[in-house]
Amino acid sequence: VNPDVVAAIEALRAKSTLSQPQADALLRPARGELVSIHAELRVTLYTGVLLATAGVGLFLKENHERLGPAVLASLIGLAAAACLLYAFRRFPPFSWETGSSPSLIGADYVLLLGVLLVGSDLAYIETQYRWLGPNWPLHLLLVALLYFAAAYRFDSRTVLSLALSTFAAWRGISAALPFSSAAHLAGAAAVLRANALGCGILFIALGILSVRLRRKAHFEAVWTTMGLLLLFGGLLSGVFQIGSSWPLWELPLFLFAGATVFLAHRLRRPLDFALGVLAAYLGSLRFLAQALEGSALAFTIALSSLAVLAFLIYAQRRMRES
Amino acid sequence: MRKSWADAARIIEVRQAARSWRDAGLIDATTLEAIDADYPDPRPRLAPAWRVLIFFLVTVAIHAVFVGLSMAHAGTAGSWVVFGIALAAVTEVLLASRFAGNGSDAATSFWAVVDLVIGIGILLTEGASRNFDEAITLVLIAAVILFAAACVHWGFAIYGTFATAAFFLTLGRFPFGRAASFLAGVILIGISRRNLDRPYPPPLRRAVSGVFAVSAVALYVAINRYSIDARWIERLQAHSSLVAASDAVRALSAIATALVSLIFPVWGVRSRRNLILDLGLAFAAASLVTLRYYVHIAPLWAVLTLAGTALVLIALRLDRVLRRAPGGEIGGFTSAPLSSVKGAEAIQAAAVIAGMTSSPPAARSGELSPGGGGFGGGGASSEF
Repeated sequence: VNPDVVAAIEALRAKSTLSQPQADALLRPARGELVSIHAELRVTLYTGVLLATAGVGLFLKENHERLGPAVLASLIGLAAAACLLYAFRRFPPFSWETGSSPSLIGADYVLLLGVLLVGSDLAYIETQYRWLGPNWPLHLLLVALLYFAAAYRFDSRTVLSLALSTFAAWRGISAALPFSSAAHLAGAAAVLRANALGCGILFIALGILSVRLRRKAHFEAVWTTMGLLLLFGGLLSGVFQIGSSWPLWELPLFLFAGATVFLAHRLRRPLDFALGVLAAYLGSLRFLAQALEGSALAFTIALSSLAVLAFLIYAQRRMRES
Repeated sequence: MRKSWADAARIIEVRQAARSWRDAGLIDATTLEAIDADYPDPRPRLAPAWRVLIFFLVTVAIHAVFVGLSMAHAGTAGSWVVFGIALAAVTEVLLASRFAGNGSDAATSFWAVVDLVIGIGILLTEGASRNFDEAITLVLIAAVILFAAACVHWGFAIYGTFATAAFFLTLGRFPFGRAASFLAGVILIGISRRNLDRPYPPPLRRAVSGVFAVSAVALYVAINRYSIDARWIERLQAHSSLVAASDAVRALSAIATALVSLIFPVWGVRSRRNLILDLGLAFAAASLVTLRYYVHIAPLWAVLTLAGTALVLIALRLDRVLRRAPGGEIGGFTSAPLSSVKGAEAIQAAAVIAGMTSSPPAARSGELSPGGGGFGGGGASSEF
């Protein structure tokens, strides 16, 4: 029961802002006479998917010698196929536009379970048969491509996020594998950074293309935000590296952060704006830490934080006025 | 809580509800505009990402100032207390200003309470006659009082939850802490249940819900069989002796564990309250895990797989039954989303974390038209 909302609905009905049927429909949930268990069903489904996936993982670990890899891989493949078949039946046909919601609440969770099972099955097959040999990280690329296909077919932002993170994991593991010994850690950091930057720029470019070409334009936010996270993560790892070359990374960091803040401000993208501001702020902290020390450093950090805060409030006001 | 702050919170509550009606298609944009005009927002609202960023920036600034002052003048317990009081004064100013609700007041209030608690802790452990066990108990009592006062005065609902949690931790410090937790849990559940629907300002109403939830969890922990065997509450005691529970107590706790996990879901259904229903589902899940710990009915992989599959099938079936029922409801329950914007924001935030994307609904609502940009609203939010 929400007494404030109940009082407001009655006041709005008295002023004829709300019609009688509207007020009646709104009053029932506000008074607690009608309760939605939508969130509970979604949480139950998500928990079910997590438990089932964990159970399958344990099953693989404990039974792979007794049953043999072929049987296990087939069983998981069958379960994945059943989930994906269910998703095919419940989801609307493919379209480059925003798809309508599936016909049942759980269809997106069954889809998620299906793609996770496919990923687990492929990983299991690769660990058992080692068809890819030393190039085993390539199976991550295969999984990412399957996730991409599922994301676009079923219009799922969640599966697209999974695809992007799997793709980034493929690049990260492939790049770091040759540097697995402790002696080459510094080299690994540089290569990982380069891959993070490359993936970040690629994702942002594909996000922009998806809008320009009107191909799943609503996926753009997923592409761009993941791209920005990788891009700023890579640049900040350069800024905060040990050694003397860190100042070289400050200029690209500030350029990209500035561009992000400018564009996010124009396009009213609060999350991207916050990411840009945060990246620039962290980059400036490295400068301050290098130039100052003691209480002067502490007070300067405090002042710079307040300056960024003032900038945020100013930007918000400008946004409202525009 | 000042009347002006309470009034502002009530207005925000109505505006958020109106947005959830618009998103559910129950009202159109014109009606939303009329409601907005009737309930004008007294404060500029910021997107969650901005509020988190501002909280972070203010936190950095606060700690930088404190470190700077400590370097200039050797820090003592008194400096923590003075700094906490100063932050409390800043919170008062911020809450009365147009910056209220932008994350800065949340940061200053939180660190005011934390600094005061730390200061009290250092004061208690300074000097020759220090007694750490006593100090821990007193610090917990201070946390209860300060967080409760901050909740009631400033209207931050989460502090009510913190105060209640600190209260139950304090009870655990004393002999018979488990019995005291059980009794206090029952009493607080009864009191808070009766006050859940009182016309308090919205933050205080949410705080009452928090008290109810923490009390229910404390009650469950007090009676849970595994908690008794592992002596969870007894380990909190000063000078803990950790004597094993008797067989009678263990048998009673097994029965109580099962009973509570049945009572809460039934209570939730009968009272049609999501909070009680959710707690009941959580307790049922915890009781099943407890049962699996003591009774090995099947290998863990089988239990997990079967439980997961069963949950998926039950949820799908329930959704289908509710959708096909007359009017899409049975006994006052529906599977259609009726959530307020607050609930939806939480789901969006989870989706943002899970998917690392901005939230979609504002773009769908048509409230924003980014005009001319090639990015056409994908993930734009109505708040900036």
